[in-house]
Amino acid sequence: MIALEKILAHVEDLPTLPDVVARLSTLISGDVWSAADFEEVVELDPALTANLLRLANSPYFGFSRKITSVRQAVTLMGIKRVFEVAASGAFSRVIPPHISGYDMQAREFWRHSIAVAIYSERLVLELGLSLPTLTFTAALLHDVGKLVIGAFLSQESGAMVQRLNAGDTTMVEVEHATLGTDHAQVGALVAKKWNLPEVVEIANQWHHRPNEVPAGHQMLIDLIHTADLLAHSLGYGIDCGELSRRLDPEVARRLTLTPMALERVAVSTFDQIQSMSGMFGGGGKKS
Amino acid sequence: MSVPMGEETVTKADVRASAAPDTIFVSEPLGAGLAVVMYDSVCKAGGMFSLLFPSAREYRRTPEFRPALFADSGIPLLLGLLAEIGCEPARMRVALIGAGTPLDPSDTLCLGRRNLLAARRTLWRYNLAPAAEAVGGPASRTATLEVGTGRIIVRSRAGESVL
Repeated sequence: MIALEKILAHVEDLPTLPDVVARLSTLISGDVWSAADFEEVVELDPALTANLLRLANSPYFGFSRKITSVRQAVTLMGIKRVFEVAASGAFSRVIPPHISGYDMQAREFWRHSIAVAIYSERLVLELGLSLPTLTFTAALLHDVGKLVIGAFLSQESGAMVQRLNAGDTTMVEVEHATLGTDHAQVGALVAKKWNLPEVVEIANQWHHRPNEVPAGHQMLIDLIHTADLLAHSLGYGIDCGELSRRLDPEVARRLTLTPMALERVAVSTFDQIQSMSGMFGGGGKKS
Repeated sequence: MSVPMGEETVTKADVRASAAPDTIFVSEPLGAGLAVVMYDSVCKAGGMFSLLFPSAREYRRTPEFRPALFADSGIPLLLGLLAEIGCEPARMRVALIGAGTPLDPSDTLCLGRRNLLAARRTLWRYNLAPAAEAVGGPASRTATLEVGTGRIIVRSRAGESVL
């Protein structure tokens, strides 16, 4: 087994989200802010500004009128929504071209992240729930741990595939058996290192252990856990774990999930996922 | 990564047919979705349809309706494309690939099994039945059809097989 310390040291090597995202995160957690403050921070990073405007005008986030400036985006969409768009744009730039160990290309990783984010929000609507704060961002970034542990899993890929083919073991259980940790635990560390809002850390830490969630975050984790399984089932982000994944029956009970409700979520968002997937190929930086 | 000449990716909700011998249709990873592959060995032409959901019934009147998402509305599209290039249903060899199921004992989503049943039911309406299937289980397969030879290849982490 690979020493946990080695894996944790690798967290330090991961490309960071632009500083701008951490500064925006601090800004939205405060009580006092203005559109001008937000604009001032975002416009320090021209590439991020361009990505933000492109995404803000996408069919998923889009408004009927074209958004042409950060200030206009904040006014029309609200500061938290614009933070979510900015974090999406920044994240797409740090995904390495190939996520080794999972045998997954950047584009697939991005498609999975986008699908989980969109499904999480659409589930809220379908099930008549209230949207937890920053659901889109927490869901989009739920798998960042894979960017770290992939390199370590690749050294053990033969044994992993053997374990997976043997039957009733999920991908995350195989990760744990192989490395003594998994992408969820490591992802929580990455979220902390990137100074992201606490919900991103929580989403990473608990999305595969939805019955141990800290108070106040149950619904967010149930949504992401469900959306994750739905995205894999629809073939978004297939890795070597394929469908060796499980929907926790307690989550299904808490959310009163039915096959038709899940199908409606997936059908109604198909075009949005296709469109958002095509906006960024990921693979912005070499690992 | 270079793509071999003639290789065409059949994306989700995509329907393609060809009589060009160098065409190779390759699906995206299918998950619980299903690839319907048809081949007419007399006119040496074939096609592939990659569906995600069983029935269009509930969605026909919605703005996001796309016939190629569903088994019952997409299979006629594939048959139509194949008829245009001279294929006849009676000569068609049909294969179904995909319909994976997560390791979920209650299978809450129940999508793979519903897709498979809907595809079989739609094929029966056209007096067709699958001659070969690689379906079910926690695999996410990809399907390949070599139009020149009619070979249908299934790949997953468990390996490769020819149907």
